[in-house]
Amino acid sequence: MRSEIVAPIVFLMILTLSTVLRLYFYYQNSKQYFQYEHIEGYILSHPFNKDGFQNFQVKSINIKTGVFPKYRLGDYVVIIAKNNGSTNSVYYPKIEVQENRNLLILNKISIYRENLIFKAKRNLPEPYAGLILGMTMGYRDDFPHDFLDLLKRTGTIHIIVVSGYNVAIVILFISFVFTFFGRKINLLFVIISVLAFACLAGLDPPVVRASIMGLIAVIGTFSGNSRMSLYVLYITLLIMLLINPSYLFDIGFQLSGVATGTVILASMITTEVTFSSVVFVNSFVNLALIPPISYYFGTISLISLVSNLMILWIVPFVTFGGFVFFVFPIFVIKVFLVFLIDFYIVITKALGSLEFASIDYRFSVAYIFTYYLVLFFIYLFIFKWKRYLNESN
Amino acid sequence: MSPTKITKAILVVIMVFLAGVFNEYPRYKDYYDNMVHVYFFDVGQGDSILLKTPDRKLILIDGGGDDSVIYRISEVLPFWIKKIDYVVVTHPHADHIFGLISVINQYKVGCIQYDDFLPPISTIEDEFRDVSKKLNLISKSCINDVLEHYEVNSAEITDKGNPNMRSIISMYTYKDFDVLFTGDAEILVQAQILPFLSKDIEVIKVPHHGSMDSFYEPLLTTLKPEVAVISVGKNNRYRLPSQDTIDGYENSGIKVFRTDLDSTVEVISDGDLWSVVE
Repeated sequence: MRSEIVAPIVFLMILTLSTVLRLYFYYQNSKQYFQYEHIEGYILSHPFNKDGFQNFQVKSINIKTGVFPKYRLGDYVVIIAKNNGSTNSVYYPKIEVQENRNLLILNKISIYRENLIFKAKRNLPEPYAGLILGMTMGYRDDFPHDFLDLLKRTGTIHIIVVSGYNVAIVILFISFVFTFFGRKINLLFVIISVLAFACLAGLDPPVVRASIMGLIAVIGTFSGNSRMSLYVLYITLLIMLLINPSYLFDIGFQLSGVATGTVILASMITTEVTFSSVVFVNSFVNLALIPPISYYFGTISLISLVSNLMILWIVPFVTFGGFVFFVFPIFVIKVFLVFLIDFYIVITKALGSLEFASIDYRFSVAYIFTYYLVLFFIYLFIFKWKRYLNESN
Repeated sequence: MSPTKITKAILVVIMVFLAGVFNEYPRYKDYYDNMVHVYFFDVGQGDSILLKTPDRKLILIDGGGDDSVIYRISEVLPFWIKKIDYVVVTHPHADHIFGLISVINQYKVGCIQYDDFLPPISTIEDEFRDVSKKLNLISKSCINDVLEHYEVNSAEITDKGNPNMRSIISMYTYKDFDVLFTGDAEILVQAQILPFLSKDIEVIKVPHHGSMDSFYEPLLTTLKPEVAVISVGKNNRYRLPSQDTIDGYENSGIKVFRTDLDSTVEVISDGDLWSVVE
């Protein structure tokens, strides 16, 4: 066997084995770990408000505290918690910020993000500001319950999560601006910008995944090769788990991994960009996302395919328009963004008001495995059938 | 671009434009209609009321216990209106003051009617003071031109630690249309204010989320409101409103609306006729 084939296989095997071992040891010790009453470390994702709590993680432990005072990405915190060990969440612990140990660069990025949020909210009402901030940089503070329910019922809650779209826009924009600086300098600026954007968006699993994949794509200068994309996704997910094993049960990590993997797999069957191929990829992604969404939210949207087909196209426009609006907050762009989001609101409200829009059902773990097994066989069948049709033509 | 693609693009633009007009027009119409609009917002367990006067002045009374007031305001105002002329803090409990912090941060606020002579009762009130003082918004005469408001005689108040005992009661009048806003005023406060109130009113905000300790029948027999609105959260832990309070209002012939059941309750008037939008 040639070395260019053997080396990647060995690399993948070592990476897989290391990740499995890392997960095994992490979760074996986790019960003891959660019983610690003294936790200290960096806040590495933006704290956010939900259900009256300010939420953030320190060393994979969810901290839920009062909305004030505000904590920041990059803060070094010492937490005295009373935890019974049965959960990895602690409520209203005593928190002390050790300012001399803060990561200043992350603090600065956090302050910059706060200023952007402040300006956007000063210029636009809700839910417009929140949706634009969600699509551009993963902002997810208190959306009201009725609005979140609407997003869940219509299966469109993922649009407020930063994804590959955003990273692609950053890469394309920076590459364009620094076109004349030569490949190496251009690449350097792209890498710095993607890393800065990942910090700005909060280092949440979907952002980290999209950023790593984006950087690998840029450095490796490959695009459009589905099989290669699948390997890159696999390697990215393993690296993320190797660094932070708690991602394994993070809903953002799971949804982002499933959605990206399904898009790549579905694209291996349908290579042309036509309406029917868009419907096919969308259907496949929607089917694949049913188990985790049902498991975590207890809801299955029956109209998510239709709602996503109708509204998903606005995401790149709002994302790009949102970035432009942050720099030039002029009325014309404001109207453009408001009308696009009005379109989204009108469609989701109309579809969400249908009685059969969603059903309340929670998948068990056994059902999830069975479901994916069946879905995989259906995929294989379509894949082989498509190949047979291609060969017979 | 092929002609088919151009046609598709034009169709998409038309669809987006129509959706925009469909969504924005009702708010535009209500804002510029020269009528009084009173919105008793559904902000969960808390109070927040927006009043739009015929000359398009906006008065926000309290901000609820979370940020949902921001969304409720956006539901009734055109997207380009980012100014609230007057803000009233009836008293500093979190379920009345929390949302105001976001209102101050996200809207241009004219002034805030608020007394800061006592120390803050929570970190939330502390934060509220910080943001409003930074912008120099606090004024004791903020609403003098737009609302009649009544001061309690603190010498007669024994329970000085209870912020409900200094809850501001205010009245908005436009021609023959009167609305009374009562905050969380308890019986003692209402009894003190009653001698200053003599005319019939149309709408009353039920004091203290319909709690029995704030039901004061003489207020109703004197003012004879026709509609009462209870601001209360669904399945709240205080089990408000009290059924006895609701019965008390209904037995006086007053129609009761509740924000937990009816969502945001809107009352409109041209100063002569008035109605609850259902």
